[in-house]
Amino acid sequence: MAPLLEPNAGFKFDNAKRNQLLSDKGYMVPTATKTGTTIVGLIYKDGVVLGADTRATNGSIVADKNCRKIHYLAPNMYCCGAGTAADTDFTTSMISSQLALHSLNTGRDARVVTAMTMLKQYLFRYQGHIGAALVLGGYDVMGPHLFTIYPHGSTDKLPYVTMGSGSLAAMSVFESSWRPELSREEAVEMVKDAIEAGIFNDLGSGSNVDVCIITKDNVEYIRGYSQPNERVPKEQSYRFAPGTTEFIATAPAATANDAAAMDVS
Amino acid sequence: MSYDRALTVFSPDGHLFQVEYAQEAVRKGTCAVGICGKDAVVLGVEKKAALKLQDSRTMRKIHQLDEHIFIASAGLVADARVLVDMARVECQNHRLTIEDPPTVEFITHYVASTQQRYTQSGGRRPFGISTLVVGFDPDQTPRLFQTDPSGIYYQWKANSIGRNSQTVREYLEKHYADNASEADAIKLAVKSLLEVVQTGAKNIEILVVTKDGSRTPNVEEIEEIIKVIEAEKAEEAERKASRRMASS
Repeated sequence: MAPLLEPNAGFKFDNAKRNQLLSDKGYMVPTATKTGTTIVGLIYKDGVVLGADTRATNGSIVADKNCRKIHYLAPNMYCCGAGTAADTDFTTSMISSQLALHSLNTGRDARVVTAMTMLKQYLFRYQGHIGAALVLGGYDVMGPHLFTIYPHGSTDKLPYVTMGSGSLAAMSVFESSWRPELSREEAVEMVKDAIEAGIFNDLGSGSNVDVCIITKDNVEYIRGYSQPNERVPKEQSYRFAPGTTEFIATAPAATANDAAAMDVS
Repeated sequence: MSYDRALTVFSPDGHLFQVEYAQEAVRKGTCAVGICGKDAVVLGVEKKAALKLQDSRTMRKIHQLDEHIFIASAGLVADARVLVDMARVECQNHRLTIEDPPTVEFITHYVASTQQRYTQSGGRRPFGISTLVVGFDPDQTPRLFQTDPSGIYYQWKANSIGRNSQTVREYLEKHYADNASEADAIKLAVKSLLEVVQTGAKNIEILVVTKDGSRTPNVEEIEEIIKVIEAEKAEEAERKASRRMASS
C-alpha cells in the first residue's frame, strides 16, 4: 500500500521532470536568477555602516565596473540593493518619494521601520516578481536600525546582515569578527573586509567598496572607500601604427560648396 | 437670472462672480508678505492669536512643498492644505520623472493651473486662497511668486497678500532695495508686517530660506528685531524733531 504522505527526506526530482517536459514541448526552461552583488550592513556603537561592491553584471559580462548600489532613501536612511538593477533603483526612488511626502505631512524625519514596512508591502504585492533584495539602514528617534528585505517581502532585523551572491563570503567575515559596541574605525574596516571577501571570492561581485556611515545627525557616503582592483598601466603600447589599414582609392574631401549644393532643393 | 449660482457662467459684463467672491475671501484672510533678497527669501505671516488652551503648533500658514520650496497662503486655510498636498505630490513626481528638484516657477505654475481648473470645471468651487511661493531654483537663484484664486501667477521682488495687503505693498514699494542681505530682508518683512499687525512679535511668524536650508526665528528673535526697528524709528523721529527745532 502507498503511504499517504511522501517522506520529507531526500531529494525530489519533480521539477527536473517538469523542466524536461517543458523543454521537450519547446518552452523555455525556468532558470534561477543570480543577484551578482555583495551588500552588507552592521550596527556599531554610534550608528549603522552600510557597504556595497560596485560591479554590475549582465549574465557573465561586467556591464559597469563602478556602479552605485547604496541608494538614498531619506536624509537619515540609505538602502543597498542587490538583484535586478532597475528594480532596486526604482523601488528605492519611489519609496524615497513616499517617505519625503510622509515627513512633509508629519513634520518629522521618517522612521526606519516605516521605510521597511513600505518596502516589504510593496515587494509582497508583486509576489517576488520585483527582484529587489535590500539592506536597509538608518538612524531615527528610536536609534540605529538595520534590516534585510527579500524580494518576496520577508524581512529580518539583525545587528549585522549581508545580501546578494557574495553574502556567504561576507557573512563569514561578520560571523568570525562581529561583536557588540564596535568603534567606528573597527566597524568601517569590518564592512570593507566583508565586501572585499565578496569581491575576491564571488564572481558576481567586484571592483571597489562603497561605504555609508549613518549616525545620529550625520551621514558620510564614501564612494570607492577601498579600491583593490585599480588598473595597472599597460606594459606595452597596443596602438596600431599609422598606415596599418590599406586604402585602395582616394576621394576628394567634401567642401563647403558641396554642403551648400545639397541645401538647394 | 443670477450669474453667481453656476460657477462656469459669465455674467453679461464678463465677470465670474464665484471667482470674485473667492478673491474676497482672500482679502479677509490674514496677511502674508514675501521678500526676495540677494541670497535669501523671506516669508512673513500674520498669525491669529492662539486661544489659551490651543496648541499653537497646529496653526500653520507656511507649508513646505519640497526641500527648497515653501508656500504661504491667505484666505481659507483649509483650502490651502488641499492645494499643498497636491503640490507636494507634484514635486515628488517631478523628482521621479526628471531626476532633478523642481524649480519654483514649475511648482507655482502647477499650483496656479490647479486653481484655474477649479474655476472652469463642474461640481467644484474655486480655492479661497492666494499663495506666495518662495524658494531657490536648483541654480541657486532665490524666487518669489504669487498666485490667486483665478489662477493668475506673477513673479515679484516683494509682495503681500490677504488683509491690508494694499497697505503693506505700498510700504514695500517705498522701502524695498535690490540685493537686500538676509538680515535686511528679514527686517523689511517684520517692518512691513508691523504696519498692519498691532500685537507685535507673538502674532508674526517668519520663515527664512537660504540656499543652505530654512529656519523660523522664534518669538524672542522677532522681538529682538522689533526692538531694533523701534530704536531706529525713535532715532529718526528725534532727528526730525531736532531739524524742526533748528529750522524754526
